[in-house]
Formats: sequence, structure tokens, C-alpha cells
Amino acid sequence: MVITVRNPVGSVLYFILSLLAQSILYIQLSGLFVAAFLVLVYGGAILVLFLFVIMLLNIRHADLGPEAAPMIKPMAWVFGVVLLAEAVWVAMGTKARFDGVSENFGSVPEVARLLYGKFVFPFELTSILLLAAIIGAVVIAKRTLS
Amino acid sequence: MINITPLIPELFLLVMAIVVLMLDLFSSRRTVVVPAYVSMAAVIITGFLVFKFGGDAVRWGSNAIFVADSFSQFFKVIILGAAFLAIGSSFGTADRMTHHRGEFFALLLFSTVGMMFLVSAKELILLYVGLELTTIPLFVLVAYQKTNRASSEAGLKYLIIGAASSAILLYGLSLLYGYTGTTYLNEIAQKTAVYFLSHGFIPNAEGTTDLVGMGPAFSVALMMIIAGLTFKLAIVPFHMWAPDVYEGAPTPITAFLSVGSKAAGLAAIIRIFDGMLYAFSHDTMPNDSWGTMMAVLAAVTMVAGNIIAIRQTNIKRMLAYSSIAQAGYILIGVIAASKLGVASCGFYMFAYMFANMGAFAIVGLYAEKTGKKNISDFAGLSKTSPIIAALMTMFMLSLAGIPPLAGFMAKYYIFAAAIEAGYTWLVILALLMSVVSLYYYANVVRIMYMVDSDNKHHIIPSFPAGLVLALTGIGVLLFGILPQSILDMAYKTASSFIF
Amino acid sequence: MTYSYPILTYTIFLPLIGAVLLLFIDKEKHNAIRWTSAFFSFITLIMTLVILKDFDWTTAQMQFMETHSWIPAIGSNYILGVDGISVPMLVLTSLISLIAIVISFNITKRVKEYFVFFLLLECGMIGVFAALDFFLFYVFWEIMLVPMYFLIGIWGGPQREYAAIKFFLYTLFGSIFMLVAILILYFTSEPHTLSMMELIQIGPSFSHNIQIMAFAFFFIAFAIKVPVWPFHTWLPDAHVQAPTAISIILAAVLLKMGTYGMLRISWPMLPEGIQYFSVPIAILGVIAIIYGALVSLAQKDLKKLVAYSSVSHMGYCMLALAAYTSVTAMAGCMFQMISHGLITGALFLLVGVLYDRAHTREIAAFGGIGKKLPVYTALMVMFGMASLGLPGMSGFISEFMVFVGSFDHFWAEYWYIVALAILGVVLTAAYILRMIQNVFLGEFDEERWGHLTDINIRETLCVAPLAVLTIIFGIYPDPVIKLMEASLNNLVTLMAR
Repeated sequence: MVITVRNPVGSVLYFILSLLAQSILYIQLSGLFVAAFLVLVYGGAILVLFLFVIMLLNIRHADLGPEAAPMIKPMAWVFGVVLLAEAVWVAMGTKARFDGVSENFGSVPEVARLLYGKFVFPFELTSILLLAAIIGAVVIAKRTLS
Repeated sequence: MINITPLIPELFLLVMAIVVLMLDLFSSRRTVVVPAYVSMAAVIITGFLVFKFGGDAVRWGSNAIFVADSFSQFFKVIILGAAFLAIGSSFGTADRMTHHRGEFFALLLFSTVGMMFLVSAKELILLYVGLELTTIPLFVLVAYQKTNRASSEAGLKYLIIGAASSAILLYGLSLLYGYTGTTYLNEIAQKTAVYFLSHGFIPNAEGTTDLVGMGPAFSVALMMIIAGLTFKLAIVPFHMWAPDVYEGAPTPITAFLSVGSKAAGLAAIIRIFDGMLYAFSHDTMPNDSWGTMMAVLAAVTMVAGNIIAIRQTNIKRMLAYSSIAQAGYILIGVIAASKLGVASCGFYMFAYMFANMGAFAIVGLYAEKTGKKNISDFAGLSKTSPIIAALMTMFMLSLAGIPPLAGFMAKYYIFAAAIEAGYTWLVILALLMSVVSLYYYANVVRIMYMVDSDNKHHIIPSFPAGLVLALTGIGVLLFGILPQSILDMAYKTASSFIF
Repeated sequence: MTYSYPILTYTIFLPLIGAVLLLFIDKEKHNAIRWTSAFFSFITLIMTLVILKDFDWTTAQMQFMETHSWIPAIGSNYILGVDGISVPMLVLTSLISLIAIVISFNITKRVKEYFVFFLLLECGMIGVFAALDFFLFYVFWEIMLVPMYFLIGIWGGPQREYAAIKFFLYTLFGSIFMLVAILILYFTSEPHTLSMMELIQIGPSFSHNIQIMAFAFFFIAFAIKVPVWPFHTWLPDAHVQAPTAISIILAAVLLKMGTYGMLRISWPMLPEGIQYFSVPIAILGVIAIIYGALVSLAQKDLKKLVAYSSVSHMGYCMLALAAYTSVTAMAGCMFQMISHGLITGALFLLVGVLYDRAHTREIAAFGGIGKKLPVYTALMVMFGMASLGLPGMSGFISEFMVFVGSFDHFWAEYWYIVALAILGVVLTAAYILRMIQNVFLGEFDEERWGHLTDINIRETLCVAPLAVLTIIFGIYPDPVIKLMEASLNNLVTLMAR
């Protein structure tokens, strides 16, 4: 629904819905911290920011332009169904056992241990990534003074 | 305590990228020269550091996260070389920018760092973050000429397709993780190998073994990884973005994209397929499951890339399709899945760097001077600027694989690897396609030398651009005639792989 | 005979040094450029003559060998050496190159580039005849294509660009098969080697299928260069569009590389291949003889006529090569290569001389110019006669040897193939005589051709050595045959394995 709705505000709201569903999955795995985090940071902060930006931009319906090529929709359906079938095939075909997750999966200490221990390098690298992205955003978005 | 010395080159380059950024802030003279030269110097020093701090790995427990082995060193040299040459040929482009000149070079360096992480990563998450660090600055660089519609369009296209391919790759990686329960490449390799050793190879109806024996998740994961990574390499059918992006991006960035990002993506593919999945290489079991799939991709890529390139009139588009085709040749080395195969990939990339960077440098130079970008605009160049025309001829012939240039040596080496691995049909096809490719490469030469025009543009390169052309020209010739030292190095890179 | 210095290396790279030197000469100083290149070419000729003088013709061993490690990573060494097969080719190449350079003195368009490319071409050609390592051979083989492409494409006739790219692509197409064959042999041999001499030693131990496949691949590559009948379509375009000097080089040297490659590589290295394909090759040879002659008969353009006559004449070489048990046939092939080089080279040169003056090559446009240009006519008639195999000229000796040798080989069965080839001699006589009659005899159009001048001294000097050699070899072929004999005997023994 996120991408089928033509109103961007609607898209964002649906996105929040899918995030909530995702956090429920985490709760089922007893990862309360991750679930809460997902809702707070993603659903709460980022998407609300999205909403603000979109509302500030004040896009009217006419600005969205006409529908894209007519073939797009049916083709998207075809590929979607294929992907779903593939996912089902994978799920049915894989005989791997699910051992469940460790006792303290998703707990605050565990997340911290992973982030600052095992995965410290990717984590630190992500900060550089964000820096690069910020610079990029500034470069692209800033109006040229002339 | 984790030993982080192998990371020193990357950390140094990161610091330098930030220094370049700051430099722009503090320098009163709004000139392009300072950040550019600082970046070039930084790249060179990093190159030395790569050799100084090579050989070791950053480990977590017993598992390597980040390795500075000879393979990654070799690819880092290619990446840094591409970055150096791209910065060298950026002076003109950056000079005409009215804004954010320092950021241009800083972003280029960030992207270079990302590539260096990508080639060294032995852990899936680091690999993925490295990939993102590679591409996100590139999105921006591609769209750098904001006033130019084509550039913006290219940036957007690259962003969307790049993000989609990253998502596919991530999905594949997560499936792999889900299946094996680890993100370390060596543990994944062990687990898959153990699986095959304990379960035996399950022959299917045709008598070949395939991955389905391990359950579909594994094949889907592999397919998704192939799809995600071949996006970066612009392998058909995941090549659609390349021509538009190459055409729209500032020329030095196009060159950097076509060499640096390709080298990094290639290194990742080699790490995953030839390194991690050695269980599937032909010594342990026939590699026909992913080997055949990749062979078909390589064949289709070479055919499509070369044939579409013939019809191009814009030189950047032509080079874009040619680089698609070149990626097809490189893939042959990956498929060969042998020491020779890995070595030949490395050498090919090395030779390709010189020819392609040089060709794009000339294209950029010419477009700067005349504003023209069509192949036919090069008419009469041999009279007005004979040296530039001669260099362009060398680059074109090297890309086509005519001896005694480096491109020929590279092709020969790749084909030798493939023949050794038994892919004779692929070699014959590849050679046929290189005859086809000669047609459009020679067309550029024909236009420069044989078509008269009233073209009066005398191209005089600036010092850095001249340096770039001199280096690439020497490289193309020298490593065609005396390739031994590089071949040795390339062969050593294969020592970190088990075949 | 060994020298304290690597004479073959010097011979090969002397033209290259000349080319590099030329780059530093001001491009307006045409004469300096011309004489510099002629000088370097002349020194190269002297060098090859020194090699010829000190060559020991009593042995089939490779001489003046130079072996250096070059690219151990791919098993390639820098190996040079000559035997009785390559020495005549070396001398022919350097002689023809010098003549072609002198005849190109009238080039006024982009003089500097022309001579640079020309010297590069000479470097590649000599290299091919001296290389004894597959990789090196292949590199030289391909290096030639690039200057050739430029020489045809820039200085050629009206359709030069088309002819140039066709030549380039066609030959490259052939080369790729050679490359695959080389790689197959490399990986089949144990230990892996690219040395031709070693591969010739162990070649027969390869399996039948490998031999047949590699032989077929090599054959395609070389046959395109010769060109053998179905692969000849690049030749008329390239020959006709190329400038005079390049036509000479093409006819006299480049075509020989195909047959040289067969003699040097595929024949001795893969004996089962030649034993298997002998008859088809003979048939292709005969088709080329007859077809080339018939097409020549129908030509209206003088240069095209000579071009197709090349197809026909190289057919004799193929016929001789098919008769692999006969030393006479091999010697005939070699002799035909040399004499075709001399004769057809001279014919192209003479056609070029006429074209420079008349600006047309249409046979029907001329008539009776024999009276106006007596010296020219005499030379043209002489080479025409040599071409159709008049006794006393080198063409006769070579054709005679080809026929004797191939009859010898094919006598038991398939003798009629050879008999059919004799028909080609008659057809050759027909087109040559028709050409002579239409161009030099008959009515003279004073108004149109009154301004023609006879061949000048420079041009005569160029033809003279060719004429002298044609006659000497026609009367006293013994030295040439002695020169090659030991090597050819060895060759036939190798093929009988």
C-alpha cells in the first residue's frame, strides 16, 4: 500500500503501519527493546519527519503528473506474485530447523554488546556513511548562490 | 584488544577526506587546486600505507573481519589508481563548478574508502556497509552538476537503481545468514563445505550436482547476491542504468565509476564466489551450478554490450556499453574459479584501469574544450592534436585487445584461465565479440585519422590532465610489453584463495 | 654461426628505432623523413643480407637463436631464430620494404605519419618471420595489422576506409582461432610450453582430436592470410584500395605469412592434421588456382586483375603444401612464395606507376601505349611473362616444382586434382596475354594518353632488383634451393611422424 497510494501522506501512514507490524514480529521473538526502538525511532521520529517534509512541500494532486507507463502496473503484479511464490517455495523447501533465539535476544545489553563488540567496525563505518550522506544532501539540496 | 593496524590506510584516507573537507572551509582562496592536490597526495600516501600495513587481518575471536591480504592490496592499488587518475582529470570539471569544490574531492575520497572496505571485508555486514559507503557518495557525485538536467537525471536513476540493487543484495545476504547462522565468510564457507562433505553431492537428473540439494533458500540467496553485485558491475541484464548514468555524470566520475566501483564489486564477487564458495569450485565438485549461470551472464553481457555499442553516436554512451562488455570478459575470469582465474581478473582490471581512465580523460578534456560529445566530433583530431589522438588510439586498441598493449595481455590471460578451466566455447565467443568490439573502437580511430574536418580545436591539457594522460599512456604500453611483475603480483593475490 | 650481439633483435627493432626517430623530425621536412626511413630500411636489408651470408645452409637447426625469459607467468619466452624457411622470407621482406619505401617517395599527404606507420609495419613483418615463441609470434602477427589499417585507411583509394576495416576485422577474425589453438596446445603440453620448437617435438604425441582441432583452427587463421579460396574476399578490396607501396607489401610479404605459418607451425607440429586434411587442402588450392584465374580473366581493372592473380598463384602454394611427403613440393611452395613476392610485387608497382600518370586503371581505357612508354612496356611484359610461368623466369621453376612434387605425392590416387591445376596455367596465360594485348598493343589514343611519360629513374631503380632476381632465379635457382633444402628435408621427416 505504501507505493500504490497516490497521496504521499497516505504512503507515509501505511509505512508506519508496516513498521508496527514488523515490531510485532520482534515482540514475538521476545526482542522488546528492538521492537520498541523500531516504533520509537522509525515510526515515531523518522516518519513523522517525513510527514512534515511532505506537508511542507505541499504537493497538490495535479503536481503528481499522469500515471506512468500503462504496462507498469500489470508487470508489477506479475513480478510481485513471482516473488511471493518464490518466498513460499523457499519457506516450504528449506528444511532448516529453527532453534529459537538466545535467551537475551534483543535485550539492551545484548544489542550493545553486538554493536560495540562484534560489529564495531561496520557500526563505526556507518557513521562515516552518514557523514558522507549528509555532505551529499547538502551539496544536492543547497541552492546555488549566484 | 583488537589489532587495528591493517586498517591504517583506510583510516588515513578517511582523515584526509575530512581534512579536504575542512580545507575548503578555511582556505580563503576559492581555488580548486589545493583540495585536489591534497587529495592526490593523500591517495598516493594511502597507496604506500596499503603496502606497509599489508598481510594482517582484523579479527574478532578467530574470525577475520577485515583482511589486508595480497588480493585486497592488489585491488586497492587499482582503486586508488583509479581515484588518483579521476582526481587528476577532475581539475577542469571542478574548476567550472561554482560551488562545493572541496566536497567534490572529499566525497570521492569517501567513496574510495568504501571501496577499500569492500575489497577487504570478510564479514557480510562490513561488506554491505562498505558497499553503501561506496555508492552513496557516488550518487551525489553523479548528480553533481545540478544545473545539468542529464546529470540530475543520472543521479536520480543511479540512486533508485542502486538502492534497489542494494536491497536485493541485502536480502540475499540475510538469507545466507539465516541459513548458516553466521556472517563471517570463512564460517559460511566451512558450513557449506561441511554440508557437502557430510551429505555428499546429490546428483540431479542430469547427473550434475546443484545447489537445490541444500534447499532452495541457498540458491535464492546466491541468485540475489549475484543480482545485487552484478548491478554494480553492470552485467546484463542488470546493466540498464549504466549508459544513462555514464552519459549524465561528470566525465571523471564516469571514469571512476567504470573502474573503481567495478573493481570493488568484482573483488566482492570474487571473495564470495571464488573465495567463500570454493566448495563449489570444480576441484571439490563441478562448479556448473553457479558457474554455468555466471557463464551465461558473461556471454549475454559480452554479446549485448558489444553489439549495442556499435550503434552509439555519443562517445560516453559508447564507452558505457564497451565497459559493460568488458565486465563480461572479466566475469570469465571469475567463472574459471582457479588461481589463474583470480589472477587474470586482477590483471584485467589493472590493464582496464589505464585504458579506460585514459580514454575518459581525453573525452572529458575534449568536451571541456569544445563542448562536443559525439564520436563524429573527433574528426580531424589527428591533425590538430596528434599526441592526444595517438593516445586515444592506444587506449581504444588496448580496450579492443590488440598487442602489444596491456589490454591484449589481459585478455590473453583471462582466456588462458578459461581454457584451462575448460570453457573453450566461452573463449571462442569472447574472441568473436572482441572482433566485433574492434569495429567500434576502430571507428573512433577512423574518425580521428581518416575523416577530414575543419576542426581547429587544439587540445592542450593542463598539467594534472597531462600527467593523467602520460601515466595511462605509459601504463597501457609498458604493461603490455613487460607485464611480468604485475602478473606475478596478480598471481600472488590468488594465494589467499583455496582451490 | 653466432654473433656476440643479437643480430635478429637488431634487425627486427631497427625499423622501430627509425619510426621513433621520425617522430622527432619536423613534419614539413618531407625529404628528410623520406631519406631517414629509406636509410633505416636499407640498414635492415643489409642486416638480413649479413644473416644470409653467415647462414649455415647445411643444417636444419635453428640459427642465430636468442632466448630470454620474457613473461614466465604465461610461459612465454623471447625466442628468436631462423632456419632455411625463414631466412629467404627475411631477405624478401626487407628488400620489398626498401623498394616500397622508395616507391612511396611520391606520397605527399601526411608524409611523416606514413613513414612512421610503414616502419612499424616492417618491424612487425620481420618479427613474424623470426619469432619462435607462440606468444611472440602472435604479438608480431597482430602488431602488423594496426599500421596496415592506417596505411590503407588514410592513403588508400576511394573506398579506403571500408577496405581497411574489412582487412582489419577479417584478419583479426582469423587470428582469434590461432589464439584459441595456441592456448589449447599450451595447456595440452606437459610441461606447459609456448616454444614452437618444443611443441614441434612433442606435437605428434597429442591426441588425434586435439591435433585435428588445433590444425583446423590454425588453418583458418593462416588461410585467411594466404588467402585460400573461400576466405579471400578481403583481398580484392584491400589490394585495390591500398596505395601502391602497400599493395606491394600485401602481395609480396603479408600473403606469405599465411603459408609461412603453415610451414613453420601447423604442418610440422600437427602431422596428423595435415595427413587428415591433405586432400581437402589440395582441392581448395586447385579451386583457388582456377577460380582466381577465371576471375582475373573477367576483370576490367588492372589492379584487380593482379590482385586476383595473387589468389590464383597462392593456390599453387596450397597445392604444394598439401603434398606433404614431397620435398620437391615443399621447395616448390617456398620458391613460389619467393617468386610470387618478386613478380606480383613488381606488377603492383608497375600498375601503380601507370596509375600515377593516367589516373585510371581501367584496362579498356588504354591501348597501344607500348609505343609511347617502351621501357615501361618491356618491364610489364617481362613480369607478365614471369607471372604466367615462362621458362627462364622464376615463376616457371616454382610452378614446375609444385607440379612435380604434387604429382609425386598424389600419383596413386587423386592425380586428377593436380591435373586440373595445370588448367590454371593456361588460364593464367589467357588473362596475362589479354591484359598485355589490351593495354600495350592496339590503337593508341594520342589525344588522351599523349601526355604519358615513361617510367622514371627512381621507379626503374625500384623494379630493377626485382627483375634481376626474377631472371637469375629463373635461370639458376640452385642457391635458393640449397639454402632451404636441409630445413625442408627436416620438415618432411617431421610430417611423416
